Amino acid sequence: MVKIHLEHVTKLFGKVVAVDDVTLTINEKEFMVLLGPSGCGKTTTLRIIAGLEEPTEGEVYIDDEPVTYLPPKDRDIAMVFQNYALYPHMKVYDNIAFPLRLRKYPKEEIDKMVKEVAEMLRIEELLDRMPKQLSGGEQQRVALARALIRRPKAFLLDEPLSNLDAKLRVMMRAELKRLQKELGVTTVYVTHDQAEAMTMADRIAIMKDGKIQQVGSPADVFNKPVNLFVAGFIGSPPMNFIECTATEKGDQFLLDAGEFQLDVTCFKDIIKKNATSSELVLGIRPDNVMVDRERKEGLVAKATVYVIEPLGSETIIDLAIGDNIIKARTLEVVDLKMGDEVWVGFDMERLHIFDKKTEKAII
Amino acid sequence: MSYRRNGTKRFAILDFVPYLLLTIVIVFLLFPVYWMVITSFKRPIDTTTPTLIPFVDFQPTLRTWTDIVFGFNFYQSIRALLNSIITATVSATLCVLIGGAAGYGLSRFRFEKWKNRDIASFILAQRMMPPAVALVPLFIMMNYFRLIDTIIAIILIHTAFNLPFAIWIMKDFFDEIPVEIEEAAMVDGCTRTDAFFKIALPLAAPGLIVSWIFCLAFSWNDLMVVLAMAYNKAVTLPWMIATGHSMRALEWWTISAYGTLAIVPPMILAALIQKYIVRGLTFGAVKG
Repeated sequence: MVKIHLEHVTKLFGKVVAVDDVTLTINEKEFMVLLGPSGCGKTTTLRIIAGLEEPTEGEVYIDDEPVTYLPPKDRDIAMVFQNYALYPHMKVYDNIAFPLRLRKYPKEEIDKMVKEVAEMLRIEELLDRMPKQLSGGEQQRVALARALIRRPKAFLLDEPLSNLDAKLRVMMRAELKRLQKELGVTTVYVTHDQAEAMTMADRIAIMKDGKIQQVGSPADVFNKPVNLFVAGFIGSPPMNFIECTATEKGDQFLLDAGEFQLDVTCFKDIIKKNATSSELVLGIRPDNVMVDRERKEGLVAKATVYVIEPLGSETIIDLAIGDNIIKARTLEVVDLKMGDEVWVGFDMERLHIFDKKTEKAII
Repeated sequence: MSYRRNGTKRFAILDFVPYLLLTIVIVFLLFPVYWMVITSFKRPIDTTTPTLIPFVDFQPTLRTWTDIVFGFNFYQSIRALLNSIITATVSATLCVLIGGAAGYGLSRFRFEKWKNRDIASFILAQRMMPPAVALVPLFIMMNYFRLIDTIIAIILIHTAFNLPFAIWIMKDFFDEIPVEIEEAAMVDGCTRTDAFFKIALPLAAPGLIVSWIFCLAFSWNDLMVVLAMAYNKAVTLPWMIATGHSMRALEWWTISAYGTLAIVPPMILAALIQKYIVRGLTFGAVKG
């Protein structure tokens, strides 16, 4: 199948840098998600791969062929747009058949292929309708069918689920993932929704301000974020950050957050080697915050329960430690109420420490 | 008609008020047309009297039509009618072709040196100037190119006058079509030109028809340009109406006959493409 490679791609719109020196390889059959907040350049990157945008600098390769200046029609890729971009003046059937008609397929074959793909996506009964008469979910299936029908080298999907309601979105993301694995087509998927990225991707490329921050598997970017941005963007609720100062007290190496001190002697060498100053940021995911009424071993900070957010299967506890509010997530039944005094501890195995100045991860 | 609580119909005086008002408006609007049409069927002697109903008030006659319009003026009348049809359709078609292309360009491409908005405003600014201002220079130009009293001159000038309008309408129509639809076509295998002809143009068809009709109407009704540029071979129906074609006095019957002749083709056209005209009238107010 097909490998897509971007080599030092930069795109300027006037003086605005939309994509900043992006180098990225998307492997064969891989489901790659470009993830980032709006305006981070992920859609522009996708449009550059599609050929709808010419990069200011850099090269695009599909299957090791340079395609940077090839028009979209010669790249043999299919794209699904955020608003689906169905042809409003054509019936669903003609919409799906359009790419084949352009390639002058014989009529019977077109008919066979349209029926086949319609069956696969369960839209057979919609073929005679106009796009206007379809619901959002149906339009999305038609757009997918139009992309699937000609077995392209690669799929490019630009936030295809963002116009659907929440329930349908969760359903479609599972279906899309299965479809991609069944067909084994290299796929680039753009989204700003970290949950979509985590659930669907083989690998995620997280972008910010036109730059790629980190590329890795969902587990990688979740467990080993390379900087504060990635750490804060992935995961819901997001990671807790507490600013602190590194201090040495005898043999002990401590992180002083004002309200509490955390003994990180075991990380002393790594911190000393990599930190640019003693100003650090402590990062801990809500799942790795321990809460108890009694002071037990490993619980280091005194906190007040700020608010309790029950979610049915789990509960999120907001805790006030001095001026900081941190979130803890627990699957256990919580018998706490607002204003209760508790003790809080952190799972040292899951601790993240970042340099405050460079925002890079130290641990 | 309103309904009582038990569901039976009740005729109330108030229910007829809207119809009454509408009738008054329609009479007000159509009376001049009616007056014109019956005048064309009157004997000259009857045209000065306020007679309204044929066969009752006056004896209708076809004499104006048979003796003048299609009589000794036959050749000139037919030529004026044809000139009107040709100038209006050709200039409207040119406007739509050029305006469609220009509107598409303004809507889809980003111009850097002069911004799109500046170009669009500059084009519209052509309409700010009273057309009469341009008549003398245009006459000199047309004279230079030996085009006076040719329908080419009239077509060119009408096209130039109408083009800004056509460009603006078409730009707006293309703006309404999401650019992603064309991009999808390009990814699906179209060239940019394919995408324009297969996707954008069919979607903008109502716009094309609306601007064609508006340009046609302007050209059909124009007198000023024709009066300035034509005197014999290239005259159109409005010219025939205005000049009254008389050596002796105002021949109301002849003027009315030409007037009637001039409203027939647009009425046929209007009947044929009524729904697009309605779309044109609401254009801007209700988009999409």
